[in-house]
Amino acid sequence: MTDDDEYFEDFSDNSSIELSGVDEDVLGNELSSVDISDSGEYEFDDGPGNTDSSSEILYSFYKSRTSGGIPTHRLKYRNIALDDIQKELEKDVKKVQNMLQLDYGKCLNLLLQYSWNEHKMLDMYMNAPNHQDYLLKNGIYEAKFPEDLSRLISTETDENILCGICYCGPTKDEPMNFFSMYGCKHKFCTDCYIQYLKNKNESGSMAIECPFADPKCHLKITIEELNVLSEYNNKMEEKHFYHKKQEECNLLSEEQIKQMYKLDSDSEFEFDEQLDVEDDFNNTVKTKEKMKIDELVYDFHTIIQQREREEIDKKRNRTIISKYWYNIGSRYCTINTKKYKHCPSPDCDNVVQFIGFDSDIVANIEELKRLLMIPLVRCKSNHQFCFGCNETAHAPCPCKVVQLWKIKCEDDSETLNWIQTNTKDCPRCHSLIEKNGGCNHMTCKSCTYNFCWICLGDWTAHRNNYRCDKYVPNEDSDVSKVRESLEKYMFYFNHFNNQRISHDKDKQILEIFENKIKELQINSGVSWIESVFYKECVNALLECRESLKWSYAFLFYIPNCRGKQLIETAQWQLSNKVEQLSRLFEDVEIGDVIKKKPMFLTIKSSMVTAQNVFLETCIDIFADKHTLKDFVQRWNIK
Amino acid sequence: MPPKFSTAHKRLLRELKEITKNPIDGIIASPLNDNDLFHWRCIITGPNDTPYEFGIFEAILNFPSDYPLSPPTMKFLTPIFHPNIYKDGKVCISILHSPGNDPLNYESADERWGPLQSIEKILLSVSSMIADPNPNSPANIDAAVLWRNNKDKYNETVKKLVIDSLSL
Repeated sequence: MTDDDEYFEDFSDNSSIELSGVDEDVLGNELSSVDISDSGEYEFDDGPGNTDSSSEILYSFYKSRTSGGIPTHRLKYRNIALDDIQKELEKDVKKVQNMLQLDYGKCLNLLLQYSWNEHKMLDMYMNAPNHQDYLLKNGIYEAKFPEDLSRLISTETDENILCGICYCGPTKDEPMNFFSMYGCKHKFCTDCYIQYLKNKNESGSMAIECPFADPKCHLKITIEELNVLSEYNNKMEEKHFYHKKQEECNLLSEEQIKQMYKLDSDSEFEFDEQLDVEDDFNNTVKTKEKMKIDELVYDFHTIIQQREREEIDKKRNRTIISKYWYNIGSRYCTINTKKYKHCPSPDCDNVVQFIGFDSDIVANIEELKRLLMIPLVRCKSNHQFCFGCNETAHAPCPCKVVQLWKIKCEDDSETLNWIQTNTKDCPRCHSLIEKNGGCNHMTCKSCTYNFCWICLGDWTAHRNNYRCDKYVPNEDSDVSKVRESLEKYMFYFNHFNNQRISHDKDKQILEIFENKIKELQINSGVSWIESVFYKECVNALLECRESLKWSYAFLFYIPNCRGKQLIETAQWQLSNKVEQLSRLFEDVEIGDVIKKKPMFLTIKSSMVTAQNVFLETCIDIFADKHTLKDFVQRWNIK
Repeated sequence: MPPKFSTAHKRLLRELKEITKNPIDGIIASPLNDNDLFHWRCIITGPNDTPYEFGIFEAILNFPSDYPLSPPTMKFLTPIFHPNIYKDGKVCISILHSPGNDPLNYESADERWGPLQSIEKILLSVSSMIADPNPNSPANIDAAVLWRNNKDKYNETVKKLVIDSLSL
């Protein structure tokens, strides 16, 4: 990333010099565009997305200053969906299109080739001795597309033609559809071409080359040509779907008739998970069966939800074109990680767009990180994550500390367990010793100290008999420093782990609970709006657990000082509230949930307050310059 | 209505026809059994004027269900000492790698797998790879080191293994 930026900077410096030599009329537009985006590396205000003021600006922390008066240097951001990026990119392409007077898809391919570095691309284009050669080298056929591209798909009956992918050819009776790109005329049957493109789409490649291999054809497919095939494919799939559906319908109606007949004669209710449950709903009067129906309706709801999820997935992958744009959009985000961040939650397509900072001192994320602030953002679907390191929310731990902690856990946790159970320190030099057999008379390899494995006493005192059976009170004044730090680490690690486990457990329980709530909603006619509070409580609880979890990692690294005690107090208060709410979730009867709504909300709001106080205390600790310096030097955070 | 065959089926059937009609010298290839077109057994004879001469090498080709969009994998059953063949018999050759999964760009995209390659081309490439190893991306490091530093010893090792594998 940094290399790119350097290149970008170098380039923009040179470009104005080089461009000034070229005809001004042609490049008038371009020069101005260079000027705008040249003004500063971190001035993003002129970037795409800002013109769209529909989504509001959000902040990474709820306050611009803590109660202690410490600025929090909030990050300003905006929530967008991946589709919004597509719109912005389309604008970029149009801009280039105006300059080069090429077809839209060709400009898009050029931009893709240069990772959206418009200036580099234009520079290369302008400096190329022969534009046509340059375009060919980039897999672009210069000649303009005709109005009607649908002629690229042709129906062939010539028996001499053979599709190079499936080795099939048309016959006089069975014509086949062939497709070729406008520029190369390498024909393949439409089915194979579509499969080829889908396959490439799946692996996330863009500017897909013609499959012809002998000699390799480097022509790249444009979005217009993709569109032709995509539409063709949609039409074929629709046809296929329609046929299939008709067949299914015929089958189903027969089944239904049988089942209905059965229902009437036996009055034995056996429902499948079928969509016609609701129709039969009116027929059942008995309460006993009503229970069964309720269950089914509930199942029906879960099925609907699943379908909805699949639907979104399908929508994303449905057409070749939409998947292609999806790939382009997500690639654009990965290129511009400074400005856009993908939500790291699984199955979430949302993007967070960086806008700026609510601060005079901080200009970029790195500087913010140096101040040990945590740029937490939320995507459209309310998933919280850190803009700086793309991890899930890890407040109050600064990003660097998270890294340190993770490395430490990876290195140490397993090893530590083993060390704890299998080794002892040499009483004199504190090197770790494992006893792998033999008698209890140990000789330390590093300091040659002779000692007894059982009581860790000097062996000379033992002589020929073991006398360490007697209990000696622990008066060890010389407790090993290594062991002590291990113990400290183990303490915090265990707490960290406990919180992690409780978080996961809570999540499970709450999911089950949530399903029950839905059931309740259906049974008692409580409106959806009324039970939304519950979902809010769940999210708040999980977030607080997350904060608590990271607080242990944070405390491990904090030197002993007054601030640490304050943090511990605030942490204790938070954990109190968390346990209270967690308990409430556990104890409450499903039927009482609505009744206890005020209780839920009270505890939740006091918990959130406690969380905010806690996070502020964590920020405040570094207001003391001495502590900050000590902390940074000790853990080498820079 | 007869069952609809997948592209992979049709394509493999065509290739089988082609290979039986115009066999390649020194190479035999056919499906393991008639019901399953996705697993082929092939036999490659060692190229002349190489230490592999007279050797008979049996290999299995496994085709993915989206063949020919994805490449098959090839594995030798006969033990063979070669810089580009893993010790377990897997073949490492650019034609069997789909473009895009080589971040270091060892191989140019042109010699990679594409839907227009065929079994015939794979087997010919493997045959020529046996004759002319590519030591730049070795699969069997020992073989590659020996091939580079001590050709005589390499030839000897190969010959010995060839004779052993023929179980004469």
